[in-house]
Amino acid sequence: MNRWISMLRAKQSSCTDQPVDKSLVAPDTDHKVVRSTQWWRSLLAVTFGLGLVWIYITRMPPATVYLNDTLVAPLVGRIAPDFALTGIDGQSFRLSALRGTPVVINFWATWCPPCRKEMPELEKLWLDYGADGKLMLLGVDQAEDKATIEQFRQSMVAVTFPILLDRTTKVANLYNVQALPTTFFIAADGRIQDVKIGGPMDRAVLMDGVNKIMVR
Amino acid sequence: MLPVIRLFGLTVATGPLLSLIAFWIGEEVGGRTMERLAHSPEGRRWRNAFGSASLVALLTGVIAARLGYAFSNVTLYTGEAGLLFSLRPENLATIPGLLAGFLALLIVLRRNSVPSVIVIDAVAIAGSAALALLAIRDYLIGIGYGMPVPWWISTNVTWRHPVQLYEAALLFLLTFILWFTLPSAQPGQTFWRFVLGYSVSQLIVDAVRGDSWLVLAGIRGTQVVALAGVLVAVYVLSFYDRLPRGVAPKAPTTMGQPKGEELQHVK
Repeated sequence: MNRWISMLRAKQSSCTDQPVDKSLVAPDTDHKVVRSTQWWRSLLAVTFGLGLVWIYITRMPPATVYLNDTLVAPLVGRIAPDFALTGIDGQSFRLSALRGTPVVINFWATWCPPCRKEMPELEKLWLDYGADGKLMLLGVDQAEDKATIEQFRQSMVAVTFPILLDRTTKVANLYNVQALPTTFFIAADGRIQDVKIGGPMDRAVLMDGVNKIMVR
Repeated sequence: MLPVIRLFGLTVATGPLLSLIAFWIGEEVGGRTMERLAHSPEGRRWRNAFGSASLVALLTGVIAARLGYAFSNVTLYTGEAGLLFSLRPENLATIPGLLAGFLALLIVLRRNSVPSVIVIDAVAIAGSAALALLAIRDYLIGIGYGMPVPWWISTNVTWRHPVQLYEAALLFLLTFILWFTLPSAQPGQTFWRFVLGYSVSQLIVDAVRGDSWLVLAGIRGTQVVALAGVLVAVYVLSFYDRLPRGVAPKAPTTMGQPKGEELQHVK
């Protein structure tokens, strides 16, 4: 930068032997440069001071932590909305009762091809992590009856993780599900860490979501 | 919020769609900036070169982002290397992707005889426009949230600041300012004005963000970094002010001209 300034000054001084067009040369150029340096230094100091004051007065107040805990919404960073559904085996599940365990909720249906295609990966996940309680995987089926799902399990894909019946799509509406499959990854503290919309999820995509909830 | 958009019978994920739109808008703005900075018949060539370079940068960035993610999750990919070629828009590391994309853009444009400082100025304005659109994307898909507004009353519904919209508004304003001050800017000055403007916007917006990165006793880390950015930008911009006024700068040149002369442009 200083070399550039010197070069430009040299070009200016090399023109002194020629008739000077005063409209091109500002008067007292050197004096103006000295004043500008002081002015910029003052500006830096004032900016630094004001910046520190602004950062201090806008720091996060402690009370906000509690307010953030009340953020319930089907979005990343918020508390997952609570719900209660019955599984195809008659067992009831309530999400809030699973607090303390990472939860993966997969919204799906038997008529959805990408949902069917990602079932083997979900089953593998359940066998790897669900068997010893490291993670809970819930498949929330949309608007189908128990017989349809049983037929699917017997004829197409062997699924052993809990399948819940959302006959009226009430839970899907609560979670603003607009495409199948949609998968929510919920940490042990009940906060949603990731949402994957669409499928089929391959192992890498699935583990990307799982890793976000298993470390917390 | 709007996680998906239905277009002509198709259901499209909002996030990737708006990301692509942001890229296209950024490419268009960057190309037009190059054309203005050229001030010569080279302008059209520079604009076309920027368009081509942007596509190369996008491809390079995506590949680098996927490889960067794989590098930090090696165990996941050692057993199934085919996952590297997954077409899903997830599993991408942001920083390696951005760095590789920018380097690819710079290399391709240098091969087209475009000065690096011009590229940086164009990327600054393009980046400002793209970041504004990405902020709107974040609002639509629900990434991030604001602190409660001061007049919030305890009910089941909490009114919060739409921080993403604040950020988008400030970045659109910054884009306009950079665009309209382009004719009077020295080479590289637009980039540092962008750094200053973006840092100021983050100082303001992060003050009302509800999910800020906290460093110590509630102090927001992003604001600390932004203040550093403001100070560095002000310091560098002070050197531009020291340039003697009234010295008529020369028109931009292409290959074959001395390096010092190619940094000047016509006022």
